[in-house]
Amino acid sequence: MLDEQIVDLYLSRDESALQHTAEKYGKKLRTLSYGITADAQAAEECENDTYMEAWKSIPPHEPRSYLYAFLARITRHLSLNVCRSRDALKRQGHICALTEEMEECLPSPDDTACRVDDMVLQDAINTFLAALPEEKRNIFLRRYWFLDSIADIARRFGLSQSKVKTTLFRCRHLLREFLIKEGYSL
Amino acid sequence: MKGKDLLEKMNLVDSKYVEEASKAKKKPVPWGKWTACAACVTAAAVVGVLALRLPDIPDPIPPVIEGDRVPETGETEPLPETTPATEVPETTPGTETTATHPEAETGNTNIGGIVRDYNELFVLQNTELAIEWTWEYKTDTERYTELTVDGVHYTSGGRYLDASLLDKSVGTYDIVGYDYATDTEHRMAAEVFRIDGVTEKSMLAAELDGKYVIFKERSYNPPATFGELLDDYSLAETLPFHRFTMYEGYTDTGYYSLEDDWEIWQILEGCRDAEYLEVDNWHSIEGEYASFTATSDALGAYKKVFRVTADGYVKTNVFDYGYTYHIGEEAAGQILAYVKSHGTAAAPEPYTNTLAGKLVAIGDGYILADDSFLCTDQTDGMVFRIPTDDLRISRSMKGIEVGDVIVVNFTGEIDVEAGNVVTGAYSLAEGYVADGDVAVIE
Repeated sequence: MLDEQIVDLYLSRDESALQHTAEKYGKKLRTLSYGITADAQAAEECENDTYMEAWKSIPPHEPRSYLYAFLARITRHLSLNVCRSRDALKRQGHICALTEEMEECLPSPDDTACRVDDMVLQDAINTFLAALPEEKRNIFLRRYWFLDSIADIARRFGLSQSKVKTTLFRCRHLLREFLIKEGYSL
Repeated sequence: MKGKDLLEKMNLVDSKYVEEASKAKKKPVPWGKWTACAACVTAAAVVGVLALRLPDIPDPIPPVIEGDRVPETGETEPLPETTPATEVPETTPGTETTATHPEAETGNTNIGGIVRDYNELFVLQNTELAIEWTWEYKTDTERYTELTVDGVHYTSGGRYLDASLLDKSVGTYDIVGYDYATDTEHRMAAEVFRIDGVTEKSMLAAELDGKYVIFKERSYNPPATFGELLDDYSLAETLPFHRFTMYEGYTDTGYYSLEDDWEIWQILEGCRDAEYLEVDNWHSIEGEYASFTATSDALGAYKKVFRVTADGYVKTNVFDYGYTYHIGEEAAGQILAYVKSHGTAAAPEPYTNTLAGKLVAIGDGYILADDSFLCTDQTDGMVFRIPTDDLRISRSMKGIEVGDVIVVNFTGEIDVEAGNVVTGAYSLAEGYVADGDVAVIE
């Protein structure tokens, strides 16, 4: 079924929207969540919670042209929340590695609350991404949005792991330089 | 901020990049390059498809996501109305198909302040919406974005200041630009001015492209009191309130225009001692509030928000960060009572305007577009004049010929007296016409 049709089912409050969503995107969402939580049960819960949140959010949102991105954004958020709230998942190696890598992007990492408005940060991140060549942007997002492993990214793009690591390293430093140049104090 | 915070904030990435990355895979091997190229061209067309008269869709940040993001457009452009489920033809088995599914809006459409009676045709835009132009195709305003004056660092967001709002010159300074494609830094000297009524520690204007570009000091440094905010930016003069939306919690309850905002500023003047609050509570609004559309030429703000809540807060993102001041329930109540009794019901306003038409002439410094083919009665067609002296328009003209359909986005209005001149045009793309549902093979 087309995304537009599924979204229309949500809008008309037809519960079969959930079934069609699960049929079309369930596996991808569960995989995304599993990649973050590394826990099959948690991934399944996040997948189901995603449908519930989508049900609550459509309307007012009408993600006809970006349904997967819309759902994946919810799944990602829920999965990171699960990692944060469950001690068993909190110190997972790959999440720790990812946060350390992200820290390299920050001009001055510290423990203070984020002072920059999300809207400003959103603008900064998207401006930065717009300036990246497509493949680098996709590699960057596979790592820091979908939280893929280096090996998975290498397989997906047909690159060596060292090439992926080098690309990510350069992107992190470009982001840091960009944030400094743009005057963001994160 | 720590690394884990930034990892979570990556959720702010645009959906288009998420979609792109979700489908990204290995580049095709050389033997298939011709078929692969053909597929790329088709896919690019699909990605860029836009149903012109679909309501603008707000960014998909669902309510479950906590944070202090201010809805960029939700305040000033209405959430799309829900529409009933509509039958769309199934795709041919074995082919992945993307279909635009325009909800036909027949009848009157307001475009840049004028009403057009359009039929059921749809114009689709067949190029990418967000093109990152290379250095040679950028305007100086897009190229040069960093300015340092007396040790204070300012950056530009590309907004122009009307020359009547200029104060005295502070000198000529180098403005820095960065070409990410070649990793090269560029510099350009430009005269820099103060902005009338605005403290130079916060904003300056520099002459680029023959216009005056606003540069802002963007560090987080909110005035401690509302009075200081009023003074630093002469808010009563620089921030007019012409439109507002009433909300009850997250639900908008009506759109209004306002003829005179003097009374509101008088009430706010009485709140000079209101203190700045270090809170992240953009998402925790309960009860009633008025959300004013905050567009200010002097402050370089376009359709941002200035909220007054019944529980006594002023919240605004005019200064890029979310600023919150507690003005008290009494003052807030007075403002809400005033706007409720003086507001006039108005139609929702889109975040930007979009005009489509057939290109009928390419003149010196302008083009003409005729929208007859979109009109219910074609004799009602109008010819619009779009200035092409702006590189953002002229750079997109390559390959477009008389007879082609064009789609123009603009932030200004249509000046009927000047000959239907489209003001504030900032992008142009070729479009094509589709009647009814459209399926494009990916």
